[in-house]
Amino acid sequence: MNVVFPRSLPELFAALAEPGARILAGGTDLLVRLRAQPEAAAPATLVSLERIAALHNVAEEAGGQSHSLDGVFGPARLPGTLHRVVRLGAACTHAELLAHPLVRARLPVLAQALAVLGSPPVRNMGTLGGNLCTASPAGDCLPPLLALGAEVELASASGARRLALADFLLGPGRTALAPGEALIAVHVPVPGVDVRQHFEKVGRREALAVAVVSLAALVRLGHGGIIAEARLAWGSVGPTVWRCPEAEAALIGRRLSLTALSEAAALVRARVRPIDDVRASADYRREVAGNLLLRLAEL
Amino acid sequence: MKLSFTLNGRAVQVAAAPDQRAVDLLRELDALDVKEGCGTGECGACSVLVDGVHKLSCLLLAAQLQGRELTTAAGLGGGDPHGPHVPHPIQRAFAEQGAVQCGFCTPGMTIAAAALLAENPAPTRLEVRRGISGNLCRCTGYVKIVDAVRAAALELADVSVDVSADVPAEALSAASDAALAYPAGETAGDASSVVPGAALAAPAGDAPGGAFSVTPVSARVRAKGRTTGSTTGSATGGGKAKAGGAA
Repeated sequence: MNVVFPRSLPELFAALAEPGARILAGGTDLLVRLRAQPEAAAPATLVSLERIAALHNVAEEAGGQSHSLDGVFGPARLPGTLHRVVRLGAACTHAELLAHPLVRARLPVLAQALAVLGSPPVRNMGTLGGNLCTASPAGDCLPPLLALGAEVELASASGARRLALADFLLGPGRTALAPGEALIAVHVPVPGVDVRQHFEKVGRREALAVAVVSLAALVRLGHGGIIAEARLAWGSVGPTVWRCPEAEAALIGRRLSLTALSEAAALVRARVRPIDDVRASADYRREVAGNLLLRLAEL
Repeated sequence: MKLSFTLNGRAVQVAAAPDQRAVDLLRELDALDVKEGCGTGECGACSVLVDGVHKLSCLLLAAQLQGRELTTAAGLGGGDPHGPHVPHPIQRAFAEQGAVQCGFCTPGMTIAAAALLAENPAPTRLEVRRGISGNLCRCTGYVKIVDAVRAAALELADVSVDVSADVPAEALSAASDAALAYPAGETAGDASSVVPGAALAAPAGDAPGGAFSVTPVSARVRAKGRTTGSTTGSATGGGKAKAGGAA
């Protein structure tokens, strides 16, 4: 395999237009997988993103550009958002994002997930775009970004488009990325200060754990601590990130009490359809998917 | 392809296949302190600093090294490149605290420790454990490794105190004894700090595992002027001396 290092987006798109080209982001998944498969199946050229400065930026922008955000579960933007958007460059490493003041201050649910992703060296290498494009049901960035209503920015030589993350993730290892296209940024609406943000992952060990179940939760509290909106997204309980609109609806108008959360958890357990695998049984996942909600009582 | 990069302070020019793994290339270049364990990014034995950032050389390709500054465990210490190698305080602490058994993980562990201390010069025990959480050791059970990283942090802190000279020496050695004691529980000790002169949570006498005393830092050979504090790499000397238990 040849390895090329475009310095700009036009150079990137030109390199991706060549036959047999494949993007190399952090390499923490791709290089492991390439070694596990026969050499004949390897791409001709790996196109590294590491020297494209435009893909390494984090910035806060005025919102209002979003389209395609209104999904099945209602408007993706929480009413409490500040109409600001944080734009995360796709080639930012997890460690860079975790250390970034904007991510820590505006998107703590993402920071909490990044803090338990992989290990320090994996966080120094793996990238946000890589985590999304790998599209593992256990990808740690996916539930927070889905709960936040993030959009992905995809671009190629023929132009750019935006997609809601929910429409980008099609299944395990499958995304809406077209040939020759690159995920170049993630746009995240900033929740208002009245939105509590929470992430928890259950794994088999503390570091380098593939999630057995994870939950990202955004809960907007109105007057008197009454829940005005809840956005819940689970990892590792289905082919891709799983939402439970019934449980979200059941929380509205309630307080973050154990009673209300237990009722919502029962709805979750009744609807979630996890699988058995090497890390956990379906029964265990179903139980834990509900239990993780109870932690919101501590927010 | 022709590659040029810096390896432990030494300019290297080498021809390599662009998709050769960095771990293989580095070992061919006689950097035998870089180990391959799992080859999948889970064990940390192949850890190196790339421009001061802790990365895994089994998940890096040779082409990605172009123009970079690499530091392996052998490059952490210092000394005249043509004279005797001086181990880094982290490496000396590993030896003194019994943190090395078979030695296979040690080069990677010391790289992880150097990266941690560059970012957080006074880590708690929990922070050390998190800092080395990408590095597996199958011999020691980690307690002595955590001890060693904390001992190194104290010594490196002492180097900076020498410069500012505003903390009395007695406060320092009292702090070093207490900070190195086994905490009553990991979390109890985690609240403590190794910043000299700071209040320390775990008094030496309360430690169930028995406190151990530390050679007063002033009695040690110091590595003055060398710290791990630079994020642009800390290689201050070349040399091929292997430190940190190259097995």
